[in-house]
Amino acid sequence: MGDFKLNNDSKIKTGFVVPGNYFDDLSQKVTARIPQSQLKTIALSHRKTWLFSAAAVLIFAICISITFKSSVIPAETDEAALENYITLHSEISENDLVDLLDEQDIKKMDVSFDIETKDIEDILIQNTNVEQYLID
Amino acid sequence: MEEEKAFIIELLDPKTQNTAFQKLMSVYQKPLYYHIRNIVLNHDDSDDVLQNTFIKVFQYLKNFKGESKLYSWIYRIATNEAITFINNKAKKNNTTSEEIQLKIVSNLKADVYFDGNEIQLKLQKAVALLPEKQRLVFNMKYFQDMKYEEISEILGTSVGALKASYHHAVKKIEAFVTKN
Repeated sequence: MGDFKLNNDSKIKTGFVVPGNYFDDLSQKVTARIPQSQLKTIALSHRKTWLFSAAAVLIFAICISITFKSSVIPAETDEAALENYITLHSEISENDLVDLLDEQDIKKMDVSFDIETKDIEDILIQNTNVEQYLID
Repeated sequence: MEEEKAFIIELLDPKTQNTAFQKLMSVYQKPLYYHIRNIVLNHDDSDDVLQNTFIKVFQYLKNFKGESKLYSWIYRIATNEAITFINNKAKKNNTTSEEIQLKIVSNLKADVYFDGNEIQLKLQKAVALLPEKQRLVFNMKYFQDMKYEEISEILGTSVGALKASYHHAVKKIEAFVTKN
């Protein structure tokens, strides 16, 4: 038997056999192994755009809301502060203020005094300007 | 060249990427399979390595700069995956990659996915005995009919060095088959 020569003989094949339909199923198997997050690159980019738009609208709405709230006059004002303001700044006379009071306001001011007659007499004795009280 | 540039653009564009990747797989699955099979020898192992190769190609597409041709980039990934697979198998078995390949070759006759005759079996044994570089060059030149320029781009070795490797490989194989 002569020496074996590779180039003299016709091409020798590997002898390897591939299972039937192997190549038909391969791309499906590969795609199934690729993480979904990497496959859905299209959907994610649209979703990102939508998320950014929604976030922008939300931030804008919050800003508008804050601006609106700060310009509204609160319904309940500190009564003590209001009274002080009227006392110091008002150009309205006491008689005018009395005219502005309605029945409800007067009822609110209704205070029960528990003063003894003796105490009233003491005040009157101390104050010489009794006539003024009678006029008022 | 323009066609390849257009295809690369499709592969990198999220809108066309999935379709383009399916096309890439249909074009390369057979040649890559045989390239890998010539290294790892076993069908099931080749299947694993080929799938890993395609997954890596998909994942690293965004890093592909186009400095080399697409096919050489893909083949490089496949070659590295196959060699790494063999090396890892050798490590697991506490042996060398040459020993592992000889062991696989010795089991080829009983392999359902090998229907080669005696000379084909001897040829596989002779190739398994070659050093890694010569084995790669021989497989790509003899079994896969690749041009030296293509092999040079994939392995990063000069055409002259490849021709020398192939020449030495052929001599060793002929000596082995003649002797055995």
